Amino acid sequence: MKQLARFLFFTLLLPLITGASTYAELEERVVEHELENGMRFLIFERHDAPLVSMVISVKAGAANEVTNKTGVAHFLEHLAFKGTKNLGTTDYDAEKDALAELDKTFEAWFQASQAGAESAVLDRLYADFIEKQDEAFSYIVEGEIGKLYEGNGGTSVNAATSYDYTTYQVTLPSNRFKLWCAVESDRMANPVFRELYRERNVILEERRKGTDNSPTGLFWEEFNCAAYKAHPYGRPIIGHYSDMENLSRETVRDFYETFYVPQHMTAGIAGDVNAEEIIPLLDAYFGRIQTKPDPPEIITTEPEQPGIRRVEVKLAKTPITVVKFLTVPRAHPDEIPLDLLATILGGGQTSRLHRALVEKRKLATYVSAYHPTRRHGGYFQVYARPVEGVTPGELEVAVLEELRKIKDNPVNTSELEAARARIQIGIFDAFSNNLRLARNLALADQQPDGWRNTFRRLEQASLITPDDLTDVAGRYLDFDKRTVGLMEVTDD
Amino acid sequence: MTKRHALLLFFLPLLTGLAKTKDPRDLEFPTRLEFTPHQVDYHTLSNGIEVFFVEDHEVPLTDIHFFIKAGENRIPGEYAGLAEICAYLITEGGSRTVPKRVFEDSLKNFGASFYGYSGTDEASFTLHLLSKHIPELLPMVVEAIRQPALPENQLAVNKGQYLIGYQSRNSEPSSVASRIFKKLIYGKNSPDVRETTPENLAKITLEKIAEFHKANYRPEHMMIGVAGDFEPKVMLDLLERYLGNWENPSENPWEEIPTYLDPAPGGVYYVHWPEAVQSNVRMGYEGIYRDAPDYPASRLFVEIYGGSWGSRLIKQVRVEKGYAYVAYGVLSSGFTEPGTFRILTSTKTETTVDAIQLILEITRDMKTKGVTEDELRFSKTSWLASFPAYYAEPEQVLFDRMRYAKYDFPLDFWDKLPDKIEPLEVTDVNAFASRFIETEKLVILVLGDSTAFHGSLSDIGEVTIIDPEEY
Repeated sequence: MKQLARFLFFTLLLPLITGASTYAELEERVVEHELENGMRFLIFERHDAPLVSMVISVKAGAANEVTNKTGVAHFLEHLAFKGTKNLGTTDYDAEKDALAELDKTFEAWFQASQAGAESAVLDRLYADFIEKQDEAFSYIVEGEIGKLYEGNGGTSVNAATSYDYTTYQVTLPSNRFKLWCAVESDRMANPVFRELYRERNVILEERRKGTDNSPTGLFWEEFNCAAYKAHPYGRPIIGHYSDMENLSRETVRDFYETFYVPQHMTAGIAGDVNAEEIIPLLDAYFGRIQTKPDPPEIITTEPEQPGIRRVEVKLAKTPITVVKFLTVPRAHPDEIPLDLLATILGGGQTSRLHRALVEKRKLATYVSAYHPTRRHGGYFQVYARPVEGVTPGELEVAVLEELRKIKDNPVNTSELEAARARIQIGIFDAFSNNLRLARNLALADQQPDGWRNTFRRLEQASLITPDDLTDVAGRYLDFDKRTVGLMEVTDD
Repeated sequence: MTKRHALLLFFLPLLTGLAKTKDPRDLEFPTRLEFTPHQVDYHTLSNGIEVFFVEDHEVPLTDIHFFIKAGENRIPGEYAGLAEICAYLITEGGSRTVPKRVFEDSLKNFGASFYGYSGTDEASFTLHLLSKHIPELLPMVVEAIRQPALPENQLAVNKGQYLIGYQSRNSEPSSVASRIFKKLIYGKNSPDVRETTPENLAKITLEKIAEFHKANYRPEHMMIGVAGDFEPKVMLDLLERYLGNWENPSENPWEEIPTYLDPAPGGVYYVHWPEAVQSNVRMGYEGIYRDAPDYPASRLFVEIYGGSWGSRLIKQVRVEKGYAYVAYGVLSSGFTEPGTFRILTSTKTETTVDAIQLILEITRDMKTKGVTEDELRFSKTSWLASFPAYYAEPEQVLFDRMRYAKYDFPLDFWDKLPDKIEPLEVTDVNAFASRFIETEKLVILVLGDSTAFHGSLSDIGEVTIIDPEEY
């Protein structure tokens, strides 16, 4: 059957899809370059505006953290904007000593406070700490990396941390490409984690904003933790508050030294540059990053879930129902069938769940299903919001009833074709702007199946049959292994 | 050193193929980068609808945008939400000739999407699709815009969504703060901030929606923008065929209501949020007009004040004090009404008063001490160098031209801005700050738990208590 589908794809379907041949052309335009130290670059030339976007993805994120040190990947991402041995300082040699002294005074104060020292002692130790901090500050050239970018017309200057990756991005006028090489190669090779103690207050504010002071933020954190017993995907990316309060310079540096290795870095570059001309610059600047040993792999695997896990909270007046099933990592053969299943079940107004729960049964105001995959595992999730008078628990029952239908009754061919059409447009959408393309290329390169597979997803999807969807629905949407999150409405 | 060594050192960079590396601070670039934005072509259909085209043939996708002056500012208060619901019914309800289910499935089968919403002064719709499907799908969505089916069951679905949204409106503290702040700035009944209440929903009937649609969805209210991989002549023929024969109805369009209706006086407004671990702070007042003579100076003012990573707000509130993750100030400019001047931050409960005092001090300093030569130079270089980013994508150029056309501004308004920014001096920016900053006009909204504040809000100004259930 699959061979027949493949034959049909190439003989019948492909000529009808103008984009199918264009994928090949687009793929052809991506220039791949690898340095001796293992750092990789994917370059896509596009000369219609004098701009270029760059995204460096480091294959390191919150999943690489250990107990007591959650949040360190994200904290490192913040501190990476504070400069290097060269940038952000007037005299690094002197500053280095000042930072060492500063850390000693902080440790003295911290240990004393943990031991319950008298307030007079604590006050004196804290005053020492402030004095040393002021001394360290005296060497700082504040925000030099940001100023170099913004002063040169940089936009979208930002960074992000996920479970598996940390990305650093900027868009610059294309005549400033060399500036990016100079700044980023220095940042990746020689970061100095200065201003640590006051930046720690910033990340704590970030946590309050997104989680501690947000009912839905708290709900999602609780729910996500419940879904994983062993794997670090169950921890909050931003970190646990008590860990974040204690993240030290040593912890950040250890994480950097272990995981920021050039062989785990890929830069996506999209825009008005000439690949042939910039490759010598990439060699010269990024070639300076020293090779380090491969970081340790995550060996923890999530054990088989023996039963249903439930999180029921009353935090606000926003009722929510979420049902989650753990699935497969990226590039697993079942990934695309599960993607297609999610689209058919919950991909918009025409999906089965919307038509059943919103339009026909009038139990939900909104419902969606999606299947994100990560390096170590994905999940199939249904998110729904009940109408007035329906509880999140009642909606959960209805969601399961609809899921059972797809397990018992195969999808039809037209549903499958429509889901494939979504994939087709999605591949082209990835080219909508330079920054998005640069990010997609960098991240795709670090997937187990490599960046080229991005262009193969439609072809892979064309081989999937309705029976394949019934098969994955039966194997992965196991009701006895679900995690349920219910946000009930508060009583007051 | 032997001759051989000297030669080796000389040729080493060539042998290894390495370019020379430089300290980033030593790199110099011309500030302005001359370039020509994507070409936009203008056409007019036989009934007067203005059409804007920008071609981009990289991928076989096209976006067709319809903008119609049929926004919430034409809706009387008792029907608040009607314009938005009308837009949703058009995108989700099909047309009189193509029923909802067929309409949706046609889009789905081609992987296309059709979405729309209604803002304050216009409704907008976008058809996003593979270019080869334009002939099948364009007529269908045009028909939905011109002759929507307005099905009763879809209205019931939309009303249910609004109802649950209204009931959960006081769940997320940051959303509550933003909602109440906007109501203070514009006035509770402004079409920009009104909520759709259960009482409004009861009054929004299919008949009323049809009445609104008939009077306000009219060719003289419409502009069309197309970006992507299309053949202009074919597209123009299609648009003419399906829209050129559309005539303005005999009914008058509904009257427009101003955005600024009843702004609250400056002062401190407090929303008690028991056990909040962080306070949400919003500050601001009326902004400026886009055609104000000192609009160019205002761009540099806001960069220096709170609109960039190097701005005073970020530097002092976030970096130096660690009071907040987010701290920024924006000054928007309106075409027919003033924009808004807004400052936003959130800070842990204990530092609420200190953070507000610091922001006030930074704001006062902008007026009394002005900006420095260094700040001006940096903001100007930054603004001018980043200018191409405004036109990075074809659609950005398209939307820019359409925006200025809509308000009868010169279409090259933005193109000419660099020449107005470049000669600005410190005195120009300071003159703007001096004219514009009036800290006593600031509406300061604080949502948090004052029982744990260090210091008192009354030290900042007279405090008015606000009940979120009533606002």
